[in-house]
Amino acid sequence: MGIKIRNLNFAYSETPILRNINLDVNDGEFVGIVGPTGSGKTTFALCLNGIIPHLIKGKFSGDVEVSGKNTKSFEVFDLAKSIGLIFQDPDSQIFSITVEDEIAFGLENMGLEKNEIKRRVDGVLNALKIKDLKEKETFALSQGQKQKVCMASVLAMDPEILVLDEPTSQLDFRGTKEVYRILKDMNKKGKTIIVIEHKVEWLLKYADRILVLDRGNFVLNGKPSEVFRNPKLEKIGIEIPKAFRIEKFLKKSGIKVDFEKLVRV
Amino acid sequence: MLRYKDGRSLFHKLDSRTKFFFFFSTLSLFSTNILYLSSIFVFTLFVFLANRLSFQDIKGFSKFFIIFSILLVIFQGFFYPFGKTHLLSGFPITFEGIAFGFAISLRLFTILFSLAILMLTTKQKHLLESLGNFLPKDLAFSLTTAFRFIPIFEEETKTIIISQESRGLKKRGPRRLTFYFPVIVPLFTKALERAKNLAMSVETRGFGKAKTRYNLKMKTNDWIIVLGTLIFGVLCFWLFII
Repeated sequence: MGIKIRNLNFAYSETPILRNINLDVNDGEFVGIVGPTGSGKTTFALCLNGIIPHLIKGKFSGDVEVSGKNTKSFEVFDLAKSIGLIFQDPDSQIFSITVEDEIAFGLENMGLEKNEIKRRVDGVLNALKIKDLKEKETFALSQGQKQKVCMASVLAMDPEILVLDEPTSQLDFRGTKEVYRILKDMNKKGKTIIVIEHKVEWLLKYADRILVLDRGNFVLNGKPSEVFRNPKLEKIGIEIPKAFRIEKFLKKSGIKVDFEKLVRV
Repeated sequence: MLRYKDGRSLFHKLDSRTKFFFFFSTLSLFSTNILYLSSIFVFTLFVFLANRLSFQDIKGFSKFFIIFSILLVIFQGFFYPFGKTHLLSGFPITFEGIAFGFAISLRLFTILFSLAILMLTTKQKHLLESLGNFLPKDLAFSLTTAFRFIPIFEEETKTIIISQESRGLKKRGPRRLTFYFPVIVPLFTKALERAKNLAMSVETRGFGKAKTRYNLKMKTNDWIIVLGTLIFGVLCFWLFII
């Protein structure tokens, strides 16, 4: 199962955004996607849950299969049970007045029983340790809390795969750490996690696999320790994690060290 | 704004459809008879206060309404076409005109209080569910969501004004009229962007295919209020109009 992508091409108008992408993601993987601005990361995420080609029109070709469902033949609503997508800006996702209503929205759309909805809302609030926010008004929350509410509202629907588009872009160190702790927890429980992220240090720490997207194609694909040591990275425009830069520097001076254990969780 | 206010009053517990019924029946569109309008106004005011709502909650609106009403009374006094009784010799102010302006103002205030009762005691999602009875679901959803974004837009407008002013934009002076262009353009761009994102986010969470949404239930209290409102409305109509 997982995700299977074959010959995916997409363009909003003339300029191709995604070029001939082939990719497999297995169940239970923790995948990090990095890439410079404008490389097509967000567009790629939208292809995964069927928003492209159903809502956003453009030149789309190829096949994307999520948990055995081809996104061309299943609607976004049907795919939502298998794959959850959390967007970058929490302010443009939250629309309910209370946190509880916001989380219940997806569950109500699924047509669940009232008691089941209550149970799931409480469950997800507990899992993210934000039980105290349940009755709060959404516009009074901090950015970090809003981000967690967004995550909760998607997690409550219990999808097998979770895609996050720069979930920590508005968070400080503590907030980022918290988000990654939650993601790791979910990952341990068997969820597939795909994170689009600029903060490479965090991916190095948590991800099982790193994909580097450059001009619409995955140019590097492998273990964090391999990808982040690749000298191509800086040419593409991605920061090499500090540990590996020091390692490289020491190697040049004739000292052989392996920092991988130092940075991995 | 008329935003939901938490509480435990009778109206807080009512079915939202009952409150809509109450709202529509106090619109008092049948007549401009002052006695008729006054009794409905007093009735609405009574319900407003009985549900422990305070004038503080509608402060922003009432200011506008009061100014508007005063203007209305003055204008009607001068220009009411059916006025016969001149109050001051030489001036075209008529008693009928003032009475008419007063009646319209009463109606406006009745609507204000009635709307306040509906909005302040009903949660957004309950408004949505009963709006869904009258309107297509998508439209009802858009309407209720719009309310949630008002505070965000207020916040954003402030930020944009500050950032434009720090780039030297002047609020005073001869170019005052052009002040709002550099504010409105980014605000709109952002709003469109946000609308797009919201649509995608809502779709991601399965909007549009709902099978069972919310459970509506009319309880005894609801029927009592519906019946009470109905009896009162008919009584007023019978007493003052027929």
